[in-house]
Amino acid sequence: MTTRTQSVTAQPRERLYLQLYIATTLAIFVLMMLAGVVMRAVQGTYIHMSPDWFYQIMTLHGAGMVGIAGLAGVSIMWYFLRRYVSLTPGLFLANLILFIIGVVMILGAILLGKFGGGWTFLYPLPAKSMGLWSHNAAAAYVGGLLVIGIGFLLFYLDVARALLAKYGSLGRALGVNQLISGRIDTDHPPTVVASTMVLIVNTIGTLAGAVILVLTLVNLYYPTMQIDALWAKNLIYFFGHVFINATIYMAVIAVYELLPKYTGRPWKVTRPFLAAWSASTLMVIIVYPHHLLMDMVMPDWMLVLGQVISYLSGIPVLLVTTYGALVQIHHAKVRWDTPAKFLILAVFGWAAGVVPAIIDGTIVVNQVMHNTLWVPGHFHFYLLLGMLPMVLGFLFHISRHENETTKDRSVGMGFWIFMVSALLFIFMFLYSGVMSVPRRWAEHLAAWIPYDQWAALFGLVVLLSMLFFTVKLLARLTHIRLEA
Amino acid sequence: MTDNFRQAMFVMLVPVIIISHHWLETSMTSHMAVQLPLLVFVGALFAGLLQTYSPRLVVFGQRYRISLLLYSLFTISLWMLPRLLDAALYQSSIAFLKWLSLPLAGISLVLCWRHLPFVLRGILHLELLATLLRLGWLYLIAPQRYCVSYGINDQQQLGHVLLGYAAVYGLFLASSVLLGGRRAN
Ligand code: HEM
Repeated sequence: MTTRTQSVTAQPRERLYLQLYIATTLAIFVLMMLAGVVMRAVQGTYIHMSPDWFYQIMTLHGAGMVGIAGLAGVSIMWYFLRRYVSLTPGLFLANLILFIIGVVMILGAILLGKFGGGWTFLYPLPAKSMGLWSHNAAAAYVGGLLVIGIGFLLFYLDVARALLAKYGSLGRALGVNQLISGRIDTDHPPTVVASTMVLIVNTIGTLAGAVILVLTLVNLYYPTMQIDALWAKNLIYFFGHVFINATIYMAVIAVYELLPKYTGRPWKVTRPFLAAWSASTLMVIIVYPHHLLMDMVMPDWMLVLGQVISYLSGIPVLLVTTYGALVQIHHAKVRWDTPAKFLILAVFGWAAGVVPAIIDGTIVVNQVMHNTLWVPGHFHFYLLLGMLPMVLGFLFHISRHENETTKDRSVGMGFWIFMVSALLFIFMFLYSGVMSVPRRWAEHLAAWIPYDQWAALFGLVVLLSMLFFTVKLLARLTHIRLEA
Repeated sequence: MTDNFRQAMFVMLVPVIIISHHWLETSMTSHMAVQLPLLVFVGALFAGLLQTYSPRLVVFGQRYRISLLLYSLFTISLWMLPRLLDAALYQSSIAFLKWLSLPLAGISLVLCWRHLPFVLRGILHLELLATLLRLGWLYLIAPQRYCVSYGINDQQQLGHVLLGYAAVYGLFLASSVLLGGRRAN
């Protein structure tokens, strides 16, 4: 039924916007990685830095990475979705402009205003800095997040408009009607299914964010307006969890669209595929209580829900994607070019990273592992080795020459160096977690410092390989094609 | 909504609002969460009727959509201030303004609505939802009362009601986009 509606001839304006997105994405990824390496180096005593600067850098790295992962995800979703429905270029650009304004506000809050309350701005910390930062600094940070949220909302509403215009309802775009009727339209694009899911969950998440951010602002200037801390935490983690999850669900579109180009097999929707995406739409929304397993005042049923859904939440989409990727490459004549390698690495990183996540989502384990470096261990696994390789695979693909056959050997080498160093870097986080090293500590005990030092070295190699990819990609920026 | 239904609603609601005004103004909850929205709603119904009888109004709505939107947003936001509720009880000029400005806000909103782009309408829907949640929450936690005429219990009750409205409104929005019906363009 679904045919490509939009002309795929390159439009210079849209291409320019995409190039701006890509340049911003690459620059921020590299800078935030530098911040990450600096943190590991500080913990490893390679560099000396006052703890308040450490927490400022930690806030910068967290907010910057989450934000840029979102922006990169949007560029992938936009790139492919515009082939099926007609999106408004101006709103794609508006999102980037608001993002940059928000980033400037956040940078000001952190670097000038010394805000170091963590990217999660957990209530009541922004208002209780004990003199380290002013209310204005906290407000600039919170305001920056709000501005970024508005940008994303504009983009998602445009996606909603386009999907409703074509499919009539989001349920139909998600394929729910096909599940109910049992008649599966194998031509229904996986990109449309994934985009609809992201649109639904992120709009709800942004709404929760818009409420708690404004209440945090009110509390900053009217401290007598005291928010219930548990409600605040629920809303913040709901918003944060949904947003960072959605980055992967946007980026995975690159796997669905591009892997077939290297294997020669189309990626068709199936009944399990549609069922998985529908199920995950609901579960991503209700799984967030696994961040609150230590809050004994939470209702028990919510914590149990958090644990049970943690086992189920990511699994459906992950399974259909991993299975789909295996079907793609099994006995196929795969062209193992750089993009294909990154995409397969991404599926591995995502799948493998979910294992430590699920372990930690278990209440009895969480009582021990909560707030240890195990936690950054699992999320760096699926962000650094899952989300980021999806973005890199996408970028290397769309910037290749039309008939490129020669393989760039240096990028091929870079791929292996990136993969091995990132794995080692992540294992140091996980191992430190097993050794009960707490997360978010500027200073570590002497016994932990060797882990930090190894991690700093591995992190440095990851940073250098990313820098190398960035230089390569920026040099190819002019080759980018909208119909690649 | 058919025109007949609109007419019937309008004819019924106007006397109901006028007759019940003393009673609705005895509590902050019914004043803010029932009377004010009803005034806007009556205006909206009226505009719907006007549009069918005078198609030129559609052109008017198209031409002045931004001014109409700004007027209605400004007026509705202004009436969210508890201070004005008090004033409307004690100053007849403010009371008069309430009875005039809110139905006008409803009229302007309906006149401009269909000429607004989908994305802007979406933002307005979501912002209204967020505002209900934020205000509801703030009224629940505010340590002092903001209207001299009403007690703090009343203010907190209003908070609960606004959160309830948000829940219903959220479900309505979710079901209309998930299940669909009308197409966006
Ligand atoms: C070279 C690559 C990277 C390095 C060296 C690095 C390093 C770090 C370090 C040292 C921390 C703080 C750990 C602690 O709690 O003590 C951290 C936290 C974090 N990182 Fe990374 N990271 C890297 C890549 C990424 C990527 C690619 C993402 C996401 C796309 C990411 C997202 C985060 C987040 C969300 C936090 C949590 C911050 C917080 O606890 O407030 N990082 N990272």
